[in-house]
Amino acid sequence: MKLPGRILGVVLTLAGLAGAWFLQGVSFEVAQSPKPESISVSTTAKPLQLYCQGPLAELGGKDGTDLGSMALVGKADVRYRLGAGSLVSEPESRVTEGVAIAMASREQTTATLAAVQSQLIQRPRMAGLAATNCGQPQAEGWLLNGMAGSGFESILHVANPNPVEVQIELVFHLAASSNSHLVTLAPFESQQLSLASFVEAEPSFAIHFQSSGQKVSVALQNRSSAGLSATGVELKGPTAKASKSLAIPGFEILADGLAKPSLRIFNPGPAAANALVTFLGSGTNSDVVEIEVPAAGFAEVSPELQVGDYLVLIESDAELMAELYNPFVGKNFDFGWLTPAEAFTGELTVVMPSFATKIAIANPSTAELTVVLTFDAGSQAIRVPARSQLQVPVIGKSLSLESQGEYFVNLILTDPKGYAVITPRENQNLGSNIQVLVR
Amino acid sequence: MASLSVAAIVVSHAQADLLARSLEAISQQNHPIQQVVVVETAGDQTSIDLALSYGFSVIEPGPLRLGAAIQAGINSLSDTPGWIWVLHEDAIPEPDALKYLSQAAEISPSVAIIGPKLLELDNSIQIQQLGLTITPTGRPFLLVQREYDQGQHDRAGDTMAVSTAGMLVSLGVWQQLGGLDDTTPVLAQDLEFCAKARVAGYRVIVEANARVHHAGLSMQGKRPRSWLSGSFSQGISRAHLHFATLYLPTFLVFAIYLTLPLMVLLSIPGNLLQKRPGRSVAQFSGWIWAWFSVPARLSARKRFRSLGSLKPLKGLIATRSQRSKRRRGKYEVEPEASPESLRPGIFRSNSAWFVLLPLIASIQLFPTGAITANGILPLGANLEKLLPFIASNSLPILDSVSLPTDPFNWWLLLAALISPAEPSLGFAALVFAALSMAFFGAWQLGKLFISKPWVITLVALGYSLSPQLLILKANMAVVELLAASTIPWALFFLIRALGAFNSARAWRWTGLLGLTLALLAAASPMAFALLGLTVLVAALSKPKRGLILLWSYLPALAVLYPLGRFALEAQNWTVLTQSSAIALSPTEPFGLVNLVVLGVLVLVSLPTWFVSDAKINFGFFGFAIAALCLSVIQPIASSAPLTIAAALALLILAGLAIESVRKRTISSLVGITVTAAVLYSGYFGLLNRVDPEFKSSRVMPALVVAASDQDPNLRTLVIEVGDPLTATYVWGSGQKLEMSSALLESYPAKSDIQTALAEIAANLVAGNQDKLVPLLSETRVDFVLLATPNPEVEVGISSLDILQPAGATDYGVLWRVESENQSSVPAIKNDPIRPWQFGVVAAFALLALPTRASILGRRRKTGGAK
Repeated sequence: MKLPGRILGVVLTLAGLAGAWFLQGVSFEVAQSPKPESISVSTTAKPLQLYCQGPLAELGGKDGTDLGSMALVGKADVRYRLGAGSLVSEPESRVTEGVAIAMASREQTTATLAAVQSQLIQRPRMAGLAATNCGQPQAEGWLLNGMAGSGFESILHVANPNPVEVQIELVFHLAASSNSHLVTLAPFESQQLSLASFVEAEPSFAIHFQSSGQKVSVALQNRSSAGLSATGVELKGPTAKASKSLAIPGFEILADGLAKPSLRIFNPGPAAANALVTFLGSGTNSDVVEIEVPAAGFAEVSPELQVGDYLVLIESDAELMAELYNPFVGKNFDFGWLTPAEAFTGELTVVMPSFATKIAIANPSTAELTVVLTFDAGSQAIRVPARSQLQVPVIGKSLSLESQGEYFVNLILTDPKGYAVITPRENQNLGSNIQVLVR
Repeated sequence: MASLSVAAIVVSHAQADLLARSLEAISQQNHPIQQVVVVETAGDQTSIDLALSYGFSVIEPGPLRLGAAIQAGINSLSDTPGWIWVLHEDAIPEPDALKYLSQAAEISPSVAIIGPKLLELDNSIQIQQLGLTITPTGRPFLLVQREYDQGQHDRAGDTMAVSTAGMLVSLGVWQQLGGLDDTTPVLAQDLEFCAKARVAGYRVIVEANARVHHAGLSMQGKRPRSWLSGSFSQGISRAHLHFATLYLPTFLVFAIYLTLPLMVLLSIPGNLLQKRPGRSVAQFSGWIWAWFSVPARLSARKRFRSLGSLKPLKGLIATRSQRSKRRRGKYEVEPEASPESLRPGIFRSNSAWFVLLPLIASIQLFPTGAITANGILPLGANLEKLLPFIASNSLPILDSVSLPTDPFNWWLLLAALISPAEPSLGFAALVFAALSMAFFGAWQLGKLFISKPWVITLVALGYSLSPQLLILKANMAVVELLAASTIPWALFFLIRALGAFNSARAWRWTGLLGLTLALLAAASPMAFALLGLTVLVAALSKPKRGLILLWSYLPALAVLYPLGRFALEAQNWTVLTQSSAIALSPTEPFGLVNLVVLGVLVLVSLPTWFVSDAKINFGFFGFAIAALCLSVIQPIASSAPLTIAAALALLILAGLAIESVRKRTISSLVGITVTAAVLYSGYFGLLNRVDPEFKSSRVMPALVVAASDQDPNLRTLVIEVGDPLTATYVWGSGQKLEMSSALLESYPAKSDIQTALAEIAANLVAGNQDKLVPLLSETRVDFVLLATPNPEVEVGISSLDILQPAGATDYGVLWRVESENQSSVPAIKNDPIRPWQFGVVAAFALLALPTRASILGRRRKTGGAK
């Protein structure tokens, strides 16, 4: 080929390549692929069953000298609210042992059945207010608020509300090790276990329980003392499920200068996680702490906070669990464990014990939230600003909350002789409106 | 003085040029010819005028067949001669031809028919024919063919038959036997006539001193198709069947006619192996012809056998050694090219060692299990389980979904053929070898254009270790990786097929090309479109080979057929651009890496316009531009293989540019730079950590797999707890890669069974047995597997009496359903075209197999050329 032909070839090549370059701007419209649709199925759910653990347990008798003695002391007040449905078993209002409340209902929520128990105790070795939500039995769960250091004592309440025997595997996660224990419960049997022999003198430990069959009810009782003086008692059910985002409403500094609150974070995962803890105060007194939580281990945060109330938000790159220890000083000393609240939308019904109660409603989102509170006497709409909480004193036996947005709730019980925090949970068995994607 | 009176009958059919040469030769014969009659059967005026100019008689009897034409010539003779000399217009006798033929006739009174030595017209030292006979089955057989004439056969000898071209025949015998029978297939007419003479007691001989140059228009297919009533192969097939009918015993003839369809089918593989696929068509038409003309064949047999005993023929049938020699001779052809011009081989130049580099770059992919990265599922447990999903139109989802399985499954079939007992391992091996395949392919392709081995090696390494390929490897984009490794092979086979010197070799390369295009279509339909376009352009540029080349589309079309049919039915052509559910999503063709690599390659390759053949430049630059233009079409799947194809074309051109650098220092500098770039790219590839996530090929608990071996219709409901709850209805031993379809993305499965399954799942998690029992009896569920650990749901399911706990497994918690199942499992209906798809691919595999026809062709002559 002659030179002009070759030059023409070069030009054509460059033109062709340029043409290919310009073609890249062409786009093809493609119909969006339809998203697979889930099917909504409703079936008859199992009867809704709640279990209240009953009175607190005392180890060693009234004086602490009766070795090996373990007894339930006093009576616990049980308050409950019934919705539409047929009650299978109705408890007494003051109980001397654990009690189950069951109700058959098609629609199951807290409006159908909700219950709390409380007990104000004043004994030489045990004093304070213990109150907890009566929740549904669970197949497995975690209890983070183990305390077995000097001046602390932990007792585990386990109950089998079923007509068949169950075995419960308990795994105690200590700072550097773990050990397990198997408990067998006969039908409808309940037991109280002193954990001293399982956790030695660990100041912090977590318990994982798992039933081999039917669901069981488990709660952890903590008692503190200073010398011969009782400084508080508490009974708490399983903590909230591990999540990358947790919210604890209703945290107040109640023992300023005398004792420090402490946030306990547990990482059940196999890799270390980074958590960002934000204490959102009602004014400008907020604090942010970043902490690494080792795999299958604890991290403790002791914030230096001014007196006030706070919304605690925990964000992390892995799923974590948390509990907040909050000491109280009134006429007596006491303490409470604040559990991350469940995210609710729509309606929630809470039962209030017979103590002065405040409800802390948190809104961790970035938009203002309106929540309608309905008491026995009437309704009240309150606005919760973005990333904040409101504490509202409430009276009556029960209260319902309703909102279009997502809100978090804790009930704060204060009495001159004690302090407790109840974390409401949704009461529901799977049955209605189950969304199923079939492939 | 000659005593034999001879009249020449020249049968002409509108071939004036050849007729002129023939008539001139006849006019120069040393033996007197009583009369020459030209029988022009096509009425060609030029031929008539030509004959008249020589003073010969001319008749125009119309479009007669050969026997009637000769008879018309005889009838027109003014005087009756003792002998007639039959000639075709494409037969040019030497001046002494008739003299020698006459002498032979005079010497032996028993001789009735004498044939000359027929030589190739265009190659006068090569013998075309020297007597005819048949094989024991009645197939026409040339005693000497395509041998150089060195006088080795120059002795008069008896033969069964001679060609009518130059045949000297006694007029009395001609009339006694009734001349040539025009109801006989053309290519058996001379055989039958001569055999009749033999049976009637006459001799037929060949006089080697009589030399006639023959164009052989019939045998070369240059006559109108009506002359042979089809192609030459069809003519031979009919001649074979006709003569078998005449010659073989009655029971054999009967058996042959009954088993003809079977014989035609059985001969297909043999014909494909011999790279003569056209022969199967001829045999098929021969079978149809034979069945529809049975009375005519039997009538001919009766006439033939009425002439006398067939014993005289037996001694003249082609012997085993003659047939064997003939078969060997078929493969003796001229070498493809002189030894000097042969390119260096990859092994001869020790360049094969460089394949270690792509192998090292792929070391992380060394096959140790089933690849499960990027959503790649393991393959079926063995070939038998995988096979039903190749080219299937049903997916084992819900109660069977009518969607075609992915074309990519043909790659999975290849993997299963590599490792029939563990296809997942075979697939992992394919992925591991992809970069090496790309290296070898690029080397073979480069060898066709570049002469320096080190430059070819650089091109091959540049391709196999290109950033684009390494990125595909790093991303575990196995579909695109395999497509890219196939592209250089497709181009290589295309060029070899185009340049093949005989049809057997062209068919073999076309076979390989067809299979490669099929694999390419199975991995990247858009890359197939590019190569298909290239094949079309190549076929048009060389029509002689083009007709064979175009057949290479067939396997790819067979592979894409189910998808194509679906696209037609759904009127959604975009689905044709995606071959697999695990194919990459659309990418940016002119991303930074592509821009840099292609830009550098364009700069290096542009000078080839001034140093290389324009055809090569047009070809490769055109290919690259077409690839880049087509790469814009990626509505649902990535066009990465097209960009890589463009890079390959530019690499070859860059290699040509580097090779042309004369100055040693510059050449070394360029070489070092390119080597450094390639090594850096390879290093980059090694740095790019890739985790194929090798796992066991089992995707369900062992109990389910074992149960599915006993009952293939077994179904498991796999529940994943989440929002929403997911229930997957799993067939048999679990969902495998071959059961997937990219179409499910756009056409989600819908079935009436979904509602029942949703209710089953909901009742399971709710622990409600009352509703569950009737649902399970209507819908087949043998096992329930809770795939996501959830103790709450697990407790709920465990509380159901109808489920028997089967333990916790690596795949979740398993229960066996204890219920009387009344449901029936729907049967999968496959497309009736499916066997044809396999047949086409199998046929091309036979074509691609190296056999004597395609390999030994060069043996002797290459040696002789040294």
